[in-house]
Order: sequence, then structure tokens, then C-alpha cells
Amino acid sequence: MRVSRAFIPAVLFCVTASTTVADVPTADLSGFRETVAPLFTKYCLDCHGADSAEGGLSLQSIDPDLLGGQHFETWRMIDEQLRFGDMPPKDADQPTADERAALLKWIRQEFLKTQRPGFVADEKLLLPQFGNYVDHQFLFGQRLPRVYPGPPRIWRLRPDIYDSTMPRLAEKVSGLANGLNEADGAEFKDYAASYFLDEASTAPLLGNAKKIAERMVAPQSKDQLFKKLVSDTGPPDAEAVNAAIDFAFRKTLGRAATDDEQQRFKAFYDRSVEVGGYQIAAKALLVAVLMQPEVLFRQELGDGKPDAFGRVRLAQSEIGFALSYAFADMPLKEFVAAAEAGELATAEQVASLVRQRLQDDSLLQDKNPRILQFFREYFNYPFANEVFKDKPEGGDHDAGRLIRDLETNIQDVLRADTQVLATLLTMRRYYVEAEYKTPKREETKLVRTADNGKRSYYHTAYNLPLDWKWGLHLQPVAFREDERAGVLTHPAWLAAWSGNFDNHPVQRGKWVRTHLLGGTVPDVPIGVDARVPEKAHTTFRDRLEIATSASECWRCHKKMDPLGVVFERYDHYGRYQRLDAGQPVDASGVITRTGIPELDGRTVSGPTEMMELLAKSEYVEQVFVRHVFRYFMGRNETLGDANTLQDAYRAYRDNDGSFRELVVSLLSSDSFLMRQLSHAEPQK
Amino acid sequence: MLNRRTFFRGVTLGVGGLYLAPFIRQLEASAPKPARVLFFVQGNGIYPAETQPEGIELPRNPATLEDRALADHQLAFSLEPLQPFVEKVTMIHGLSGRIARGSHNSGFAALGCWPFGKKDYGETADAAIARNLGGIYRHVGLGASNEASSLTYNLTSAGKGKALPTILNPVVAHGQYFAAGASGAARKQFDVDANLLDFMSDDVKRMTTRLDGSERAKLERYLEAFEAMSGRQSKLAGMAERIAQAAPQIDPKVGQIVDTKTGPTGVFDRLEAQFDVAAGTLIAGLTNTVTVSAGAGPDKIGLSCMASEVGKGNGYIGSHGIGHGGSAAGMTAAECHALIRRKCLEKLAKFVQTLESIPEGDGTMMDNTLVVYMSDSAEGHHPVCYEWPFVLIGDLGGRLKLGNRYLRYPWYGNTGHRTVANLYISLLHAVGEHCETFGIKDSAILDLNQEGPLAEIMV
Repeated sequence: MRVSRAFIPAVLFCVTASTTVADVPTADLSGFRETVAPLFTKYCLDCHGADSAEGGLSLQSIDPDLLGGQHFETWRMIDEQLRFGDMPPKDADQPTADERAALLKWIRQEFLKTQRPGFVADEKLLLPQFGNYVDHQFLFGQRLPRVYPGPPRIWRLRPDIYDSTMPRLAEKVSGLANGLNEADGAEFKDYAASYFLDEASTAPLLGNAKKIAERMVAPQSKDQLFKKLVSDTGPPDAEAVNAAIDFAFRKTLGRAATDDEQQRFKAFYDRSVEVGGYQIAAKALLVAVLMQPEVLFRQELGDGKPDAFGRVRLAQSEIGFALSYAFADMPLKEFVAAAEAGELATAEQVASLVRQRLQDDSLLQDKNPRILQFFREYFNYPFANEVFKDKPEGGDHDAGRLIRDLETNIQDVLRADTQVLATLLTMRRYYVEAEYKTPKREETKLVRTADNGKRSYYHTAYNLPLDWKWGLHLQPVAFREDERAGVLTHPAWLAAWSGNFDNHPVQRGKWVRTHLLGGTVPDVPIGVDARVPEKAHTTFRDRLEIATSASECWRCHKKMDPLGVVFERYDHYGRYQRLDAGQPVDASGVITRTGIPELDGRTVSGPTEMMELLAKSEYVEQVFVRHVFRYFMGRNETLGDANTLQDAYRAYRDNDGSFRELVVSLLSSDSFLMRQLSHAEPQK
Repeated sequence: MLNRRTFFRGVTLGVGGLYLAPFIRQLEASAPKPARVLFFVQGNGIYPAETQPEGIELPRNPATLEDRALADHQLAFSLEPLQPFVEKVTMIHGLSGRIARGSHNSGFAALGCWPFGKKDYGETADAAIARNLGGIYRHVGLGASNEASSLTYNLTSAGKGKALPTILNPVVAHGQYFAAGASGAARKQFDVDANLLDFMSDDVKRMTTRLDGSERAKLERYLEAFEAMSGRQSKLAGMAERIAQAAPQIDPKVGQIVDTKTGPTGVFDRLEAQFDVAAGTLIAGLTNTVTVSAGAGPDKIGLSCMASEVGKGNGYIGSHGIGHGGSAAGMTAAECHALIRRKCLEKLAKFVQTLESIPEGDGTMMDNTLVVYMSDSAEGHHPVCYEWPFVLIGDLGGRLKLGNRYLRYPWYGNTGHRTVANLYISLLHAVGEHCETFGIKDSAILDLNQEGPLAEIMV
């Protein structure tokens, strides 16, 4: 839907006026009564009334309050059905164009209210799979007066950070329990909203803290201040205890203890001595420091005076940690030092340090492991490891090596840092059995992947003949224009998005819909348990159609299947195929329901054509930018991040598709560096 | 109220130096009869063709209910460790679980009866039973896995998004449940811990004031964790003696989980240790509901081991390979499966024996206990879930009509056919929850009655 010009100022007003809690937006119930209800009655209630409720939907008692009501999801469905002309059905009376527009306008206006910065209608909208719910046209439309960042937040450490930082706090710490869970599924893992620490995870973390405390005071410990606490010669004096408290804070939290903390921890220590003696008390003291919320949750609370709009900047120490963890799983010296020196005070200072950090001409591209990790989580190709497959006839399957091959390609793309997304979607040359390695005392170079004495013929996944001769000069291996194009036609991605025995066009289509086309697909309805039927001499595509063509299925499957079936060009091992079940493969597809004129209605003959088309689309690039935003911010974008996204997109486009400049832009944005206080009085 | 009359030490059970000191517990007449349930979920566990008792045929597509005595028949090789308890054993065949079918395993769906992909979608059967039976620890989840991980969330959930942990490391589990029973320095440690938990509660509370809304809620969960642990700590302190009596001895070596395909995996030792911990928590009265899983952890596809650990063959037995029917260590897949199953059941049998050795009321603890042994993936490695076999031991203090029975329900689609959900409903009825449905119905057989308990096993 094109947004009418007249409409935008009203929405802007709603967002601009959102700096204080007092003016929480309210639902436009009179608009519902006057505009929406009469049209529902006229066109919809015959089928979706209290008695009829076709498709399980009754509009008779729908809650018109999208902000606090129960029917948010239903409204989204209604919006889609109206927008793409699915409803009312073709053979029923149709609303006029004006009537349809009026309905859509009201719904969108109410949706935008729910997306107000700092206000989320439904907790689930904080999760990565709901990121696309936020209105794209708004985000990349007009500029807002400023960025409305998220509220102060805490962010549970991701397991990788915990695993790399905690054992370093003492000598010889090993075998720590894994108390931090990580969400399953194909979404970004490290999201601030997704995790909390409940009893089940706190208990093992407490066990770990005890283990570490034990090592901190052990004879091998290098920390004399801690060892003094348990000396066999007798209990330490107050001064020694205070010194140990301060040192424990510096070592664990990277800062001194405040006077208040110093007193409280000393009082706790004294009580523990009474109960259990000084040696046990010493360990308890260290455990208490190790279990501080500040240790297990990253703090992004902000510091200092709020600006005129109630926004505070993160403390420089907070920025130091945030930048470190954007690139690695431990605090990085350059950022921590810059924070201590007060050199993270401005966006320019941050941008300049981030840009330096991102400089990396190495073949391995391993200076900033979180960069490659983004592509892993975005494309989710490492999941190929989890999809069990039997060995195919006349070949082999080796998910691990397919993944390694693809990452060699991605390393090249990151090093070149030019048209990153377009290249990833269209590259015609793949590395096969090749990786960058650094042999002892030699420079890093491209080598044949070691086979550990077991020759694997997995290169058949690329349709290379069984007796194909590996050669360095062939790498990366060139494929035909119509054969392969980018990550999505790489056997690693195809295997990751396949089943044990078959392709998975629905999941593939869903991926394209959500990750490239910025669309949404509802959860599978409860009770739906459809399977693709077995049928001889019938292609998988045709069998899928049998399973999903019923109208109640197609309502959602039309968003996925027409995009996913183009990958029927390959079998579930990723091999190019002309025949499926003895029948010619039809790999044609059609792009619909994006609301983008240059994409909607475009038919493609197969996957390579689709990839070429998508790689040229600005819209697809913007959707990609939104995903990069989510990964690095650890949260979904809100309408208030519009300027940040526009700037990030411009940085990417103006720098010839540079991923690095995109990241620089995001990490020096107000969305990253500032927090919106809900209680703050605007500064006069 | 429990009235301990006498204690005795000195029953040494099994391998690995396990030393369990059971004690006699006499129930006062007024107290309700105890009830305890242990689920044992074995990854890729029970394949019907390999577990059929001798002399009972395995018909295709049976249309009628079969109900006969089990004790007249020799149990299959892999189930032999249960033979001594055959009077207490009930085998149930013919229940379907189509709704839960996944690949290699069904995860939460095995105990939840909903589509596999929904993960922790609702309350699983063990969690529902735990809610009814209560306990200082409502539910204890223990597992043995080939992967070097201490904790996973894989089987049990207390509600949507409320997965409960499975502790995979027996040493961690022992520390978690029996610390209050320790003596000397360890007991002082327990008291300092109580002090620590109080301090932490206070400390976290201070910080919550700096946050709003969902951010604050995150920290409140952390606060609740300390408050709950602190509350439990005082209860545990009050039963220290009893915990000390019940705490098993665990070889610290079983805590060193090594992910290897070349040397002994130790996975059966871990399983045995977990059954010891399970018995200990039940004996101490710390919980009434335990789920023990084997190979249903992060590896998800059953246990792998070295052939030497199951006493036959030579080499590594990978669960995935044998799941696909491949031979391993010089044996057929069926042979490998049988040996692994038998090994697991030896450990389960030891658990049953332990509970039988502890008097309770006029009988033993086992009399008031029910063991539910099942696979996490119905009848196969890539299951179709037309048949999900169950082996039950005990009758939950006479609350269910079980023991010495072989029950086969009419096949999927036939009149009288029942599902796994109906079994779970029966168990819930037995612990006092009179629900009529459980999980999500199989929409392909809506013409059949999928509600209510299995009448045949209700008292």
C-alpha cells in the first residue's frame, strides 16, 4: 500500500508526542464505530458473524482496541486480507476503493500507535521473529525529528561471553556448567528481550561461581589479596577484607566498588564469618560479587543528564562493553581503554574507533568473530549440520564441509566489502573442499580441506563428477549462470533448509519471505499437522500442492510456497536436478505480496533468476539493513529508529555496499548510544 | 508426618562404590498414602518388534483389545532385567502418538502430545503429575547424555515457554539436591549459603528499582530465583538428617563427561548415578516426581557407546548409525539396540530394587511408586508413531490396575483405539486430576474417542 501524504503528519504527531508517559496513545474507538464497523457490517458479517464465523473468524465481537486488546493478531490478518485483495472473496460484494482505503487507513493508524517507541502492545513483538511487524514504509519514509531510542535495559550475557570471560577470573577454572540457555530456531540468538535468569539457570550459575571462588583463593591463585583471606595463619583484618572487596569488583566488573557496596559486602562477610568461619566466608564473599546482576547482565542504563527529549547517553563504560561484545565475546582493550580515557563521548569518536576495528584485510576475517556470526545466524546455513541425511547414491553428503566451503566464500566477500548482499545472493563461483588455513610458521593461504584420511565424495553435491580432480587453480569453481547464484543455491544452505529425505520448500519460502522480502508469516495454527503425501511419479512440488492447496492452508502457504518451490531446481542434497520423480522439474515461481511495485507480480523461471532480481532491489537491501540492525542492537527496530535505519542504509549504499560502513553507522547511531527515559522530565 | 523408627546403614548396591543408606519410614495412620512417579525416557528406546514377550504374537492391524497376564511369558532379551518384577510390570502396546511425531526424537511432544515443532508448548505429563504430587522440589529432571553438557531443556515443561531443566551431570545433580545433608565444613557451607542467598535477594532487589517494565521483570525473575532458593534452603535445613541418610555416594569421575568415539563414554555409569540421585531425592522426600532420560538430551537420538560398555562386540556404536539400521561394532542394528536397552534397564532395575528395599507402611516404597518407561520417539528412529510402546512398573499404591499385564489396544483407526494422551490422562486421574483431554487431539482420527482415561487400567 502506498502511504497517502495526508496521513503521515498525523502519525508523526503521534510519535513526536511520545516523550513522556503522560501522553500514552489511546485507541481510536470512535473511528472504529464510525468508519470500520459499518463497513464490516456491510461486507463481512454475512460470513464472519457470530453465527457463521467462517474460517473460525467472527468480527462480531472483535476488540477494536489494538493497543491493549486481545485481537492484535487478528487485526494483522484482516489488514493483509484487505491489502492484497483476498477478502471479501471474488464472488462477493466488493467495497469501493475509497472504502477499502478508509479501512486500511484506520487499521494502519492503530498499528502505528502500537509500535510507538518504548511501547509494545504485545511482549512477543520484542522477539526477533516479529521484527518485520514494524511498518517498513514508515521506517524508510520521511525523516523523524530525531531518534527515539529504546528504554534503559539489561541484557543477559550470551553463553559465549560467559564462557570466555568467567574462566579467566581465576587460574585453572574448567568444567563450568552451562546455565545460560540459548533460544532454538533460526532467529538471531542474542536478543536482550529473550532471556532472563530463573531458578533453573541461577542454580548452575551459582555452582559455577562457587567453583571460580574456590580457584580465586586456591594456592595456585595469583591474586594475593584473595589468598590473604583464607590464610591458615588466621583471619584477615578489616583492611585486608576491604582491599579484597575492592579488588574483586575491579577484577569482575571492571570498576571499583562504591562506598555503599564496600559497606554492604563487608557486613555480609562479617555475618558469614560468624556462621561459617573466615575461610568459608571468604569464598561466599567472592561468590556474592560473581553473582552480581551486573556480572550476568550487560548494563545499558545510561548516565548523566537527560537531553531535552528525555534521552540519556550510555555511560562510556557501558559503550565500551557494548562495542566489545558487538565484535567479540570478551571486553576489547581498545574500547575499554577509550572509555576510561573519556574518548567515547561523541558519535564521531565511536564511529572512528569502530571503523578502525573493522579494518581487516586478513584472509581468515577472524578479527571480529561476531561479524561472520551475523551471516551464520542470518542465513542459518550451519543448521545443515543438524539435518541428518543418508548418503546419496553415487555420491556423498558432508554437511560440515559444505558449510566450510561456503564460509570460505563469505570470508572473501567480507574482505572485499563491496556490494556484500548482492554478491552473497548472486555469486557464481563456490569454493569446493577449500579453506583458508595458517600452516605452522607460514602465511595464511588457501588449501585443500584436510580429509583426515577418509576421502569424501561430497563434491557431488555441486554436481561435480565423482572422479572430479581437485585443483587449487580451479578455486573458486565456476558454475553456469543458470545453475547457481549465491548462498541460497549453495548446497550448505539448501541442506540446512531441507528435511531428512526431502526438500523443504515451505521453510525456504518462509525464509525468503521474512529475510529478503520483509514479510511476515503467522505461526502454524495449532492442530495443523499436514504432511506432504507420498505419491509415485509425482514431483515434490506437485505433492506439496496437494497438501497445501485447500483454501484454509493456502491462506498462509501462498506467502511461502511460490517462493520456496523455485529451489526445487535442486534435490535435498543440493544437487541440481532436471527431473524429480522422473518428471521434469518446474522451478518457476512468483513474487507477490510485498507492496513493492517493481517486485510484485514478477514471475521467475528458476532460482538464479529470482536471486538476480532480488539482488537488484533497494527494498531487499533495506530489509537486510533491518536484520543487521536487529543483530547488533539485540532488539527489534521500532518506529523511533527510522532515522538510524535510513542512515545505515545510506551508509551502505553510498559506500558501494560496504557492510563495514553499515555497521559503523549503526554502532554510532543514537539508537545504539542513547536510551529513552520514560520518567524523565524534559530539560528546560 | 514421618516418624523415623530406625536407621540402618550398610547396604552396598551395584558397581561404582555406590553406598546407599536407606532408612525405615513409618507412616502415621492419618497421613495420605504417598505417591511417586518416575518417568524413564530412553532416546530411541523401545522398538516393538524387539521387545515382544515370548509367545505373544505381534499381529498387524489388530481390531480387538488384548489383555492377558504377562508373567506367563518370558520377557524379551533386552527387557530381561525387569523379569524379577514381572508381577509389577505392565506392557501397553497399540497406543498412537501421531500428533507428536518428529524425526529422531519428539522432544517435549513425547510427554506433551502436541506437534513436535512446538517445543515447550504447554504442560507435559510429568510436569502435570508433579504439580499434583508437589514436593520441596516439584520436579527433578535428570539425564545421561553423550554430549559434554551439564544442563539441557529437552523433555519437560511446566507450561508454554516454561521448559524445566534436565541436569545431565550427576555430580552437579548431587550437589544441587543433597548439600543440606552434608556434615562438618560442608554443613557450615550450607549455612553460609543460606546467608548468601538472603544477601543476594536483598542486593538484586536494590537494582530492580532502577528499571521499568519488562526490563524490571527480567531482574525480578533473578530475584525470585534467590528468594525461592533461600526459602527452600530453610526447609532443607530442617530435614538435613534425613537428606544425609538418603544421599547416595557418587563417584566424582562420572561428572567428567567426555565427548569421545574412541574410549569408554561412561554414559551408563552416568545413567546409573542419575538413578541413584533419583532414588535419593525420592527417599529423602525432596520430590515425588522425577524424569530420568537417556540419550534424549542435546544428542537427541539415543545413547551411543563403546561395544565394551555393553559387553559384546568391538568398536563404537553410534546411535544414529544403528538408528538407520546400520551395523556397528560387528553387530546388527537390532542387536546393538537390544544391548543398549538392556544396559539401561539394568540401571532402572537397580532403582526399582532400591525402592523395594525401603519399607514404607506395610510394604515398601516401591509399592507407592509408578515407573513409566518409554521411548522419546515411539516405535523407531524416524518414527511414524502409529504405535508408542510403554512399560509400566508398579501401580502407584493401588491407584491404577497395573501389574502382570500385557495390554494391546486396537490399531490406529480401529474402534477402541486409544492414544498416548489417554494413558497420560489415566495417570493424572490417579494422582487426583480428573481431566478429560490432554495435549492436542489427533485430527485424523477425530471420529474415535480420544478423551478420558484408559478404562482398562483405572481402579
